Amino acid sequence: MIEVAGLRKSFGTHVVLDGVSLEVGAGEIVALTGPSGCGKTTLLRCVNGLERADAGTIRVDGHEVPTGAAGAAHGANDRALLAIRRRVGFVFQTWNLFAHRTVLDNVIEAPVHVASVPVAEATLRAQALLERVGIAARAGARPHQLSGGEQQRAAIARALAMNPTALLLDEPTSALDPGRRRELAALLRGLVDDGLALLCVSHDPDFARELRARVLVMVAGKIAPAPS
Amino acid sequence: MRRRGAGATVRLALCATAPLIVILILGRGRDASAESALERIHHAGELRWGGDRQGGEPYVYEDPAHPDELRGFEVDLAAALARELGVKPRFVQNDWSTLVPSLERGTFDIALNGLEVTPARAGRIAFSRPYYLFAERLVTRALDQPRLHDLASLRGQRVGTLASSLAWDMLLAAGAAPVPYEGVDEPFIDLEHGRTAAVLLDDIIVDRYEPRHPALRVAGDLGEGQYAIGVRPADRDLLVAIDGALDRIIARGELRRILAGYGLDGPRQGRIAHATGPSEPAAASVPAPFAPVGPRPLDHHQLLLFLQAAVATLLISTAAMALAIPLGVVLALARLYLPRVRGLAVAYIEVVRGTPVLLQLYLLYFGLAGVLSLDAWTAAIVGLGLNYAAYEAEIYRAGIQAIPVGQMEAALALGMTRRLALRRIVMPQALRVALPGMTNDFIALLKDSSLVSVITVVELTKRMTITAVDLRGWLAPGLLCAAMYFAMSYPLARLARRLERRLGGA
Repeated sequence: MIEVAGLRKSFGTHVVLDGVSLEVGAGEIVALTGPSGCGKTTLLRCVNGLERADAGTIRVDGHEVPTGAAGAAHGANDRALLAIRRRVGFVFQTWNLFAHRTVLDNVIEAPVHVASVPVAEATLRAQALLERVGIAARAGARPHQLSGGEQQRAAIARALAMNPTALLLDEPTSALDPGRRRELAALLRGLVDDGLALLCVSHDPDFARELRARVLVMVAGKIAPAPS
Repeated sequence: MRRRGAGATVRLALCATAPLIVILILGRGRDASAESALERIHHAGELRWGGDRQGGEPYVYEDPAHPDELRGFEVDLAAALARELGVKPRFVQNDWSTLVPSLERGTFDIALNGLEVTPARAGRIAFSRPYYLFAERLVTRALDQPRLHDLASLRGQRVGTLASSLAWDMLLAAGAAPVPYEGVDEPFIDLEHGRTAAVLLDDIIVDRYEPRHPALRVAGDLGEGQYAIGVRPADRDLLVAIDGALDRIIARGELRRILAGYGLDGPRQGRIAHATGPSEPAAASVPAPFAPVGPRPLDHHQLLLFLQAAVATLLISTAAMALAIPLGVVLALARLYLPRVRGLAVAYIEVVRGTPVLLQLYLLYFGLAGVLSLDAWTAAIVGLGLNYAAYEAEIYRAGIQAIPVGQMEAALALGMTRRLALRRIVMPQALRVALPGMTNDFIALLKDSSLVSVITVVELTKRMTITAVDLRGWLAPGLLCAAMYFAMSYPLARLARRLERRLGGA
């Protein structure tokens, strides 16, 4: 579902990704661990095109994410990116909920204004999603009124509202106590069982275990070879 | 011990003498104010005369060859007067429009700068005998010359002149719509471009400036007035001395020689020897110079004019803001997101912010008159709008940059285009940040709109100055004007505060 091969990315002279390859299949969870600054978050951002990789290939659900120097095919690349992003949900470490909107409005924003789903239909679906992540009671609240855990779930509901085939999570447990962490793991497992591909950056081994994820270790811009 | 003792003695001596010094200073002050005006001038050895060198040729102007020296028939007259009084002349620069209040508060001894004897002025200050007789000269476009030739034919027409002048009063009395100018060439520029139907000004001004405009014709003289020297009513001995000095200067033919030196002498000036005091100007009767009329109260007519002017201020400000907001948004977005035109946007913002709005209004209205003939209201709105757009742009840029980059990234990650993300996610939040600055700007604009009076629009501040001259007092019109500005800006501030709370949701 997510296929990354030979991915390279530098910021100036600083090499962040030095030939990364990995695959995440449908219904599979991959946890990417490694020391801070090893390039985990940059890899996630390259997969949905928030950063443009310098070289290598990224394929999501059969669609290619543009890499390399942006050339003449700029417009076509942009359209390809928009198509990819509708298939890939992204949950930021800091959640980045739209601060001026209620939780419900955060969730229906993209279906209504990107996928042109009628508001009534999007609202019904959003309520079901909020129910599933367990914050239906907070639908009318503004992001700043929520706890960290609630914002986390709202951000997941917002990402799921676009019916993605893959979900990228960046350090989802950084604001959670162990109890909440186990709840989140159960929620994500349920989603994956429905066929979602899930790539999760985390350096919490307990969480990886609870997710029953395949663990990849990243060191200095490369995936470390699996211990045999 | 010795040192300390000496210090104590000095301190004691100071304590003892301090009250004495105070008494001496106060005493001197009292003596000075008891001095008559003439004694004071003799004591100082100089006659301070107020005028405006911006009035230009031939009144008072800088000698092109020696810019630190003043020339003009009034400079020569002041020198002759000072000589008669046995003192030296000293010129005091003062805006022409505030010569009378400055005289009243004692900035100079006499006002000598084309001051026409009008009832409003004669009610506040004393006038000497006249030193120049002028005609109120009517100028029209060549084509209109047969149609517009007397006061009756000007009824309902827009006629340019200087605010608070004799011509202004004549035009009002004749039912014309006088258009107020602050400079002497601008009335002719506007007449040439069809913004007014005619210009009525003193013959000196018409003779100097009308020939520069070949499409214009002198249609005739509609009345006669006098230039006289303004003196504070309390300084009677000075007035008598000035009149005496003028008598002698006129009697030995010196005045006419001065006038002739500037091409101003003519048959009309032959009568000046017999014009002993402010006689009857054409349109209005003038009270005797020794019987100043006190300030008049505001009546309901004045109040109505004030309300109209407040509406003008509000309309101009609102329309200018309505132009500045969208243009400011475009400039801010161009500066942030369109690298190809970023340089243009930055250049616009910096040039417009970096030059005075007064200058921009002048350029737009008078400078471009040949290319782009905007009427005064349009020029006022467009000029202020273009100017404030630059400030708005920077407020919006700051607002947009204050929104965490994660908000844009979250929107992009959901498949939004950058444009949609800006419109739906970033801009609404930036508006909340920008709103206090916008309110600030709008309140500043309300007051800056008073600048458009330089391009003949009568708004609240202009109305105040006109009324103040009419009523012979600045306090009541000034307070009324201030109250009206406040009545407009305060509710605006409250409204903006409520809007902020609604947008903030907190």
